[in-house]
Amino acid sequence: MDNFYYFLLIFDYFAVFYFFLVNGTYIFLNFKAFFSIKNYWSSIEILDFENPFQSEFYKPVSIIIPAYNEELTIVDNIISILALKYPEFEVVVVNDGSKDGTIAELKDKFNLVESSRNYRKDINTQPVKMVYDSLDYPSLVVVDKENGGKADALNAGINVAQFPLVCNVDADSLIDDQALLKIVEPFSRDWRVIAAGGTIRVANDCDIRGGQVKKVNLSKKPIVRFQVLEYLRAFLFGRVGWAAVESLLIISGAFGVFKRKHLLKVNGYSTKTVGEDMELVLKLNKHMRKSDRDYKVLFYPDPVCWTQVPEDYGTLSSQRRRWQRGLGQSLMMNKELFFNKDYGLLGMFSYPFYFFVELLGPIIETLGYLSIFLTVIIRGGVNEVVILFFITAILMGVLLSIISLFFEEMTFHKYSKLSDKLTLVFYAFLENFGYRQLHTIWRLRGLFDYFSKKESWGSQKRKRFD
Amino acid sequence: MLSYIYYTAAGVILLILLVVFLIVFYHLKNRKNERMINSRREKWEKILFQYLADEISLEKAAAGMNSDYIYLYQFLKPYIKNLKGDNFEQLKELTAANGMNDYFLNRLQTADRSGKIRAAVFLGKMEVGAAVEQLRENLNSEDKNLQTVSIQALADIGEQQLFFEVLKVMLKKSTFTFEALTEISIRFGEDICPKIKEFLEKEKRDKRIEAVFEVPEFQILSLFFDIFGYYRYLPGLESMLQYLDPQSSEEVLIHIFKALVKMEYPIEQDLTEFLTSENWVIRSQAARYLAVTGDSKYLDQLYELITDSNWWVSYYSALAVFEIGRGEILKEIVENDRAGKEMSRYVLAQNNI
Amino acid sequence: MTAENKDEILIAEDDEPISKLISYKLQKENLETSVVTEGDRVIPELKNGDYEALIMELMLPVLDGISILNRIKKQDLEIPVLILSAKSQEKDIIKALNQGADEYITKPFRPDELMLRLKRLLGD
Repeated sequence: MDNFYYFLLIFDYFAVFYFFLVNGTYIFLNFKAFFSIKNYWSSIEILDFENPFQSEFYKPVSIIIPAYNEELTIVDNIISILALKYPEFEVVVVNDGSKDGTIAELKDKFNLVESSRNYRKDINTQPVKMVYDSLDYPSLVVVDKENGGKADALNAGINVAQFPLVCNVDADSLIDDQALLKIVEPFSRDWRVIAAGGTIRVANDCDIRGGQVKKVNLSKKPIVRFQVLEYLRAFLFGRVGWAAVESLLIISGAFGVFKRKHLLKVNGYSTKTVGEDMELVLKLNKHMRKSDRDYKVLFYPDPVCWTQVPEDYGTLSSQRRRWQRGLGQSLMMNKELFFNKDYGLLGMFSYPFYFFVELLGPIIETLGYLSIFLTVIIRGGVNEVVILFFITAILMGVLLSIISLFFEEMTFHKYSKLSDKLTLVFYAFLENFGYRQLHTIWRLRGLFDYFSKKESWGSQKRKRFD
Repeated sequence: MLSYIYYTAAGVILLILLVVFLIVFYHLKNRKNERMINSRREKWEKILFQYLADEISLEKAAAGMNSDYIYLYQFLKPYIKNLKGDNFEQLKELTAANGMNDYFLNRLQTADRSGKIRAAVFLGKMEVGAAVEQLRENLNSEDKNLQTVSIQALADIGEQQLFFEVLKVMLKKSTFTFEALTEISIRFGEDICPKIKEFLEKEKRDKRIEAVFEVPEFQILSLFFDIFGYYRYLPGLESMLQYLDPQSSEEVLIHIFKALVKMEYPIEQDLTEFLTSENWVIRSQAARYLAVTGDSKYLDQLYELITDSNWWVSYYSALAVFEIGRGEILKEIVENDRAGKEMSRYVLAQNNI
Repeated sequence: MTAENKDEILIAEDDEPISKLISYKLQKENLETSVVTEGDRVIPELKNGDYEALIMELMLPVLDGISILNRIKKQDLEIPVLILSAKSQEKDIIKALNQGADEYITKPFRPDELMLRLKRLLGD
């Protein structure tokens, strides 16, 4: 029994160390992100991003929107994307074999006719049935193809796209009308930039008009409030922080811009994983490192893309399980990065971090909680290590969330009411007493899914894009 | 040991509370700021509109708008961006008279990094000549953003004397794309064209173009010809045409044709070799040029090119045939179902036939 | 017909400082103004009110200027349209004029020129 207790203690200390490492790293990244954003504010001065309208030297963009069973909202979504402010762009909507009336809606509302466009099938995809032009909207192109999943649809879109820059957007993302101007600007100015991602914000309960978030409100639902915090902590400051140390591994599929030629070189998105957006960035990084050319992957902190997040625990948990599975797949498909000096910080720091913390973390975390719980039971009370655990797992977690809120206040302050901010502060505490632990369980299940290879590689052709 | 741990826990809790306090503090501070700015805005807007409508004098306007320069700049930005001509000149006079120029000149020297950057942008947009000296020094700054913004400011001020110096810096030390380079060069203004012409004549003789800029010659030439094209600088045609030679670099040829397209000026030189170049961009730009000038000399060759494998070559050739005035050739192709009928139909449809 | 018999101009522009400046200048010329900031409000407003002319930016939120011009044409709303836009490429200008715009001024602009061209439109 003593031995067992001794073993528990060791694991306890290990858990303490682990949580210290994780929360500490994210706090560090938040700080990095904050200074990066301050820097960005001053560089925004030099971004004459309205200039493309007067100059001839802008880069035209192909916006690719994969769509599956979106008959209810697809027309409105496309119209609002067509209204984006940018001198020249095309919108390539890819209907991925929808079972509902998506293609019928498109044909009806956009006056589609057969397109005379010639294009090369540089990336292999499921068969394309037809490509259409719109008589009413010359910059709209619709690709009707057989179902192949989101990655496959994106690849088909890349094949058809005619411009040097490609912007991938989810059909239900709400994009700020100046978003393209802002996110494409670095491509026009700096030749090293090969990809740029934007941050995603929570749109639930915001005032939305014409596909634009007019006024930001904080939802009343706790589940959404938790996600708001999460998005701020991880998706905003976390990602900006990673980008600031040149180790960004993920550009969200909801909104990202890439140079088309590089996409072709890595053969587009992989259809073998549900985490195709992450896998793509890993691939791109690998490819660019091998070519030994200077390059930059940017992350754009300005809130320009908004999305509706799940409002019930069922949808949310399956989303997170899927993300975890995708993470596992993406990491494994690019395992040569692991502690590989050739890939610099990416290989030596962020890939291992993602592997041990993001991927395997749920195992360690769950065992950690279990271990501490058992320690308390056996000892009949609280001892040093339990308190240390409380500090590193809970208190530091709270500190991290609160710091994110502080930085949000100092940068974008999208939630303008003091009551909203204080609510979020309260939730920052609450988050660490239940939600994060629940999240760990979801991720754990996602990990089991991955290990049990729930779906075989071959049939990764997901039908829904969730 | 345990007590240290308790102290640590307490410390972290205090830290948390401190940050919460900071959130509230900054919220209130920002709110207060906003209210202040909004009331200033109202006042400033009234004065500005009256001034721009010549209802009040420069002195009065300057007296009413002479504080909180940083916020004042934010306030003025939309007007600076959107106005030109007399009203813009009025804005320049205003910032000179109300102390803003001096303020930002000072900040350019003494402020922190982001302060210097903002100052440089302001001084560039307001075309403040007195800033040139310091901006020139900033060209060699380690700070990329400051360097970039100083380059742009010098371009906006139109300090053409420094054009070549800035160009050297841009080519050697910056990560600008070619488009950005061209963009900034053009912002210097039309008067750089004669300087470029002079430079080309002088340096070409001595074969020193590459040595001067330390980048491949074709990059410099492409840039210069883009500038000539943008400003339709006909006196530069002669220098440009010296390079219109199948032996020249393909990049240079492409940019020459692009410039010719903008200039819309007919030239004597024979273009056959370019219409049959292996590089499709050259073929298409040459055809495009002929579409613009409508030179019937090349009709036969253009006819052949309608069936070129490249879409653009095909398009511009068909267009050129049309612009030469021989649209009936296109009609004939369509009616007789010949090769190239798709493109012919397309071009005819574009011209409403 | 308004009580004072002043002509009223509709301004479709989402950049508030600019729309305010233009309103101010128009008022000095004895013209009334209304402002809409979103593309889809333009047509309803035109139908609702009695406007002598429309000054419009092409890049409006929700619905863009070209689509609006299209609808104005389709619905036979006879109103002179002056485009005031940051889009200054020749092809943009040609497209707008083809879609029915009567005048096109690029930004940055001279307010005096705006007045002059507007008056010409109203004079017709």
